[in-house]
Amino acid sequence: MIAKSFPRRVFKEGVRDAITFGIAFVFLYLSIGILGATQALSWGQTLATTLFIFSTPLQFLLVQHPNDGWLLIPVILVLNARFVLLSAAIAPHIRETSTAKITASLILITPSVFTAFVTRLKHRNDHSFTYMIGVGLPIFVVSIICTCIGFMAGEHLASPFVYAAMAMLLPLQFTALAGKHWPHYAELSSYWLGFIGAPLLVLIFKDYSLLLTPFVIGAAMVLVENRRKARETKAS
Amino acid sequence: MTLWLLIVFSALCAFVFRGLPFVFKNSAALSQTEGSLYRFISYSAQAMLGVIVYDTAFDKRDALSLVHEFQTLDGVKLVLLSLAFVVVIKTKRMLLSFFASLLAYLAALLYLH
Repeated sequence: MIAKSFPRRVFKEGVRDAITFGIAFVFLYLSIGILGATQALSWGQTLATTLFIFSTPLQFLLVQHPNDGWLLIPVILVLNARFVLLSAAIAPHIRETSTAKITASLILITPSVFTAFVTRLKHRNDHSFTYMIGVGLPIFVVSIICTCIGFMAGEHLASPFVYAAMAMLLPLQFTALAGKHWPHYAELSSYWLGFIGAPLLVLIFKDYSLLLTPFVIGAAMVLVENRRKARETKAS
Repeated sequence: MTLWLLIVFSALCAFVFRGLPFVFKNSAALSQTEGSLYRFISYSAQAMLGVIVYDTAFDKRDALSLVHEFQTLDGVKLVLLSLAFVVVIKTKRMLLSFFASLLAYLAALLYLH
């Protein structure tokens, strides 16, 4: 019954791509498990962050600063705000999917799944929701398993060297993901402008930099593109 | 108890923020993927990833602090991030790029410490 209504080919394509797009999650979630154990979080708390939040930067924040309490709320809001952008970019392409299915799959929306989704859209747009599940589900399951393994191995693996190594897992993963957008210059430019703009615009926006900088860059990119298009239309 | 509340709060926020755009999935502004609003959202999403990468790799330092406190490891990070990006473009192989950059970073860490 499920096989008939579920296009297996696209699902398998997603699972295959999950290996490429999600391999870093093994290391990231081992790290989250290790940090959870060394920061004296309970097994339930560490696992709950993966099961119900599934946002690497936010989970790192929570497990690294478990005692900061309510001071973390503005940062939590800002870090979660990016999901609005990811979902808004995905939504038009899976709008035929039922609300129940979308609701059940919301947890799978992450930058990695988003990048895989958008990369595929550049050349194919059939069964996009199935593809998203194919990519997201294995990554989510592996992340849960790795969180548990990391937590169990935690105290044995914790060291300054491991912490320093962890700091570059996410940046390398996201930067490699950005490369998959080639040759779509607007997306690539936005990514690198975000990277370059972060240390500059934080001087102006202070604590709200993560929230405001992306929107400033997004608006600037659209303005530049619209002007270029207007010039091209005039010229032709 | 506070941490549990923060986890619940984060989970609710993540769920709401992930789900909110789907409420407007049929709106004309969002469904026109060539329209200004959709492009603004799409480019902002990419820019946000760039900001997160910088903040994570360089510990949220502003430009002045980065210049004043610049260390060899910061240079290594910049080079490896650029390399990871170029390798994906040239080879189309994300795994190769990720692991090669990660190994190079670990080697640099061992050497510099």
